[in-house]
Amino acid sequence: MAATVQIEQVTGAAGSRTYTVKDTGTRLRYYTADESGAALTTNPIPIPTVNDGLSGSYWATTCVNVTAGPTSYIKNLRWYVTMASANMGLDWDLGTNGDMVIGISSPTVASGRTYTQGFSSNQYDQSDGTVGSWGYFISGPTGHTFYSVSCSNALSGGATSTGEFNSLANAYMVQSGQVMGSGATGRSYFIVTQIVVGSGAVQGDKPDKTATYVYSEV
Amino acid sequence: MDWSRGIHAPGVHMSNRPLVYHWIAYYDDGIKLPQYNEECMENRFIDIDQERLVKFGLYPFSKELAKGVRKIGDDVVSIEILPSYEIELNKDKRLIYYRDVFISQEEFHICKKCKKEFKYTGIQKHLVKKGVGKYKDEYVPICPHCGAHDYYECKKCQRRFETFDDASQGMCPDCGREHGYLKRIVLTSGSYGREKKWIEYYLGYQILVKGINHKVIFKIKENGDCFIT
Repeated sequence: MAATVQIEQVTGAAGSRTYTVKDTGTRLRYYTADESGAALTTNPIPIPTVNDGLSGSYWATTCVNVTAGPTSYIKNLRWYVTMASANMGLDWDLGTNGDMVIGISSPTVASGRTYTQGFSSNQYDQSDGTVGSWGYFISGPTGHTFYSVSCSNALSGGATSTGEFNSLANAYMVQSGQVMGSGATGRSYFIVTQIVVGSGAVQGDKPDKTATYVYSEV
Repeated sequence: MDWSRGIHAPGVHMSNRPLVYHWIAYYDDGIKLPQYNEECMENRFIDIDQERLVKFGLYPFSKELAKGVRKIGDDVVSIEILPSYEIELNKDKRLIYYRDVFISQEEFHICKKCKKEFKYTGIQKHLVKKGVGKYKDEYVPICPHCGAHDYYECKKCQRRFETFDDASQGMCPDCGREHGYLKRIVLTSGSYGREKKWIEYYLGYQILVKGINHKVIFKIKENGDCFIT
């Protein structure tokens, strides 16, 4: 039978994680906290008041969970987000150098579309920062251990603009090759995304976006 | 990304996207291997003997087959008017078949005036409040169906102000400081979100010509439309 697959967000300490299903009822929202709530108004991302300053959300860790296995296999799990401009910073008026970024382990964008960029469950790194103020950047010195430390050749220190992965044709490769074999269940590799807000960002209603996981199955 | 306001109750999960096509593999000795056999049990694609294949096809479910397959728990739907697709194969042509399954989280807006859904692209927008100090101009979506957008209204006389700044210091000039406070009439701002699932079927073959591997793949959408990729 066809696999049953759901998107999940991962929060909490590595040893006591919480997996929250993300769907119509409980969508992903970025906070300055390690939080998976769908509609909270607490801990928004402040707009920096200092020129050239940047505020990051806490990074959001997501994956797909295969709860009923495929008949033959699931392969090539990818991810992309739609946008009208070159990057989300322009689409959403996120200010100077503002953007939506994603962890990348490869040295080039092209290889980010071909080779596995996600990380396995045992490399999970809980998001951190100062609650209500800012989150550590994925690529910073206190960033995500897998991208900023383990992947020494990673592009831009381990994070790049999601604008590079804005359609199926140039999707981000979460996990290449076989993800699940016949009848197998479990979680895919994880990815991390983050909102970065720069000075001059504009508050208010933002253009609609669609983020998509896609996988090949038979 | 803010998909904070759903239109369905929390915790309601979409089921699998139902299959609209099933496959049948044809061997050189006349034997057929269907995805679902007569008992509606499923054969695995990876068990197809590619060396013996002469034809492979995708077919819409008949009502009877769909009914039987659903009984064993698979999500399928019968749309018998969908076109079928078949490719002829030989020992030089190797079959390519898979489904791309999409799970997206999609944002959208709903106009409270005309009740229609629309996608806000950031282009059709209305200045509803001018920026002051560190605060920037605030824009709201314009409904592409009826032209509506958020505006301000005097709480007392209901006079309409297109922007907050049309009334001096946020007060209705007719009703004065004591009674003329403005309230925001929200028609188009605030996004909603939902999960969407869909499937694209890919059918084709690869062939080696002078040492170079060539692929011919057709993308078939759930409505039966077919594209060469």
